[in-house]
Amino acid sequence: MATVRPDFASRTRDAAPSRPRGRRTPPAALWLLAPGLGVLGVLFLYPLARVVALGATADPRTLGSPSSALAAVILSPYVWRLTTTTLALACWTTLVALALGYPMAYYLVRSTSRHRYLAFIAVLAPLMVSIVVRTLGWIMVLGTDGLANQLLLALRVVSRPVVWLYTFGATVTGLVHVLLPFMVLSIMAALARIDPQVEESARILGANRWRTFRHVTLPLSAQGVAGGCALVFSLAMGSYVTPALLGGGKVQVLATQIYAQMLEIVDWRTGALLSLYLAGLTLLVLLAYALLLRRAEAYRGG
Amino acid sequence: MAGKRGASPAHAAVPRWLEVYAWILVAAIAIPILIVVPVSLNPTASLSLPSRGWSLRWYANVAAHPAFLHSLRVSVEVSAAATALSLLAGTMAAYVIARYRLRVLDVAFLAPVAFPAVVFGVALLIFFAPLGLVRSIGGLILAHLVITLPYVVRTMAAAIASIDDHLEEAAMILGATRWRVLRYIVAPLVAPGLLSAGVFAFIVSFDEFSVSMFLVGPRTMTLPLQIFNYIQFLIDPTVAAVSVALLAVTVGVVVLVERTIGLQRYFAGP
Repeated sequence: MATVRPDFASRTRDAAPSRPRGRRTPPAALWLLAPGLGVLGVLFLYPLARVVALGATADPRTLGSPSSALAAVILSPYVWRLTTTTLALACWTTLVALALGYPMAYYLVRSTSRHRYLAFIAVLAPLMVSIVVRTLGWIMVLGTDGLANQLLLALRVVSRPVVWLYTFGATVTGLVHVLLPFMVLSIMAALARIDPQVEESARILGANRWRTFRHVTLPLSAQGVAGGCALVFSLAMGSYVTPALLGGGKVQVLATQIYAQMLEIVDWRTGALLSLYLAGLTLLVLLAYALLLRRAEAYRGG
Repeated sequence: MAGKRGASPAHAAVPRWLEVYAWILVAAIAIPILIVVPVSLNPTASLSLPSRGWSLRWYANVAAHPAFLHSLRVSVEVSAAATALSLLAGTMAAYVIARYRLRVLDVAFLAPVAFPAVVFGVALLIFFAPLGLVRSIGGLILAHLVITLPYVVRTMAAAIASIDDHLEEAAMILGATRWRVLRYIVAPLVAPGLLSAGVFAFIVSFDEFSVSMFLVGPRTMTLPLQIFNYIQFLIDPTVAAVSVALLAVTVGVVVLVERTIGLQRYFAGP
């Protein structure tokens, strides 16, 4: 274990030395791309185009226009309720993951402790554990006869088990657990790129630890924070397992409804419309977010 | 590891409270994952820590459910096939991307990771249904091929880019054919990357849920979906016992990777 310094920042493009030979693409090597591009085209882009096509067909029952069908799906009060729950879930998950993840990322990058590596593995190894197992674990922690209630009852803090399971809060908790590694990784990459000498200079010039963090470290890691938030948000928007298991039918989100439309109600057209709506909504929020960030950056720069 | 950093006062250490916080968070992350181990040994049917002795009855119960074993076989088949195909297609693409620095393609190959899995699952269901690929092993393998491809391209592009391409040039100048260069120069150098990409792809595929749930059938149920379906009907420590088995596989893989390549290279992530 020679190096503990995270080197996520190093990217493909930085590694190769820049020489003119590499810039031209000889036709001989291009065929190597064919299988990969073929997979992307046939198994990813084409099926997505089929969803759009299905969503755009006229409703066989009412023969209404596709746009009015889309409007009818989106504007129904039920879908509106799903939308607000989905957005609230994604926002809360992102905020909690950021609040918990930033100090952790800071610790992992800056600590000189010998045990830091262990903490690093503990934070990231869950990525390799099935999401079903991780969510199941929360049922065992939060259930009426779960670990948390066993503890509280034994300590006589409560006299009867607290009901945590099958609530919005439980769902956020489970999702944060699932998505935290992405947030931590993203922030770590940004923190690791900061030249330690910049912080050192601030300290030498008399800034205390807090001021150094507030005015040097935090702004310099903003990109990692922004990236981590975008990633966690979009993954939370499409999450299915955690709301289904920890929400127990009480937390209905767009993803759970899409599953029901496709495989239980078997109304593929509505399912396709809802899928397009979910993808579009996620994209829209991320675009607005990117725009806002650029605005903030310009404001600070000017 | 402390060497360079430890010398500078600004980085001498992080505040004590931060260290305490970090370890509390580590515990909060680890407990919900490790809790399946004691719960699986509970002699009663409740999902709690065993208070009166322990028993292996839930492991016996897993063995008595052929569905779990069948799902394990399905999962291994799908993941192995998807990983093999993904390594083949992904490494070829990664070679071109790394050597000719095609940034646009680099991004294009990552697209399936950032895209909502549920929507992609819907798309594949609609596409596969008329082709008879729904509820088939073949359909699952194709779906997992798309899902694992970004991880393979990313890992392999990094591995190939880290090889000095002067070596290839030198071999060619000395008269080696393109094939011999690949076989004797590139292949041995990318072998560790190939292992890392392969293990990563296998795990991603093995744990995949949100796309597979649209494509599985009763005879082609992957293990994560089998566990999920089981808890829809009955929550007892049987699923904890299955989870322990899954966890053991993961721990084994993590230890193997850590010993051979080191974990950190691993999480280059999306």
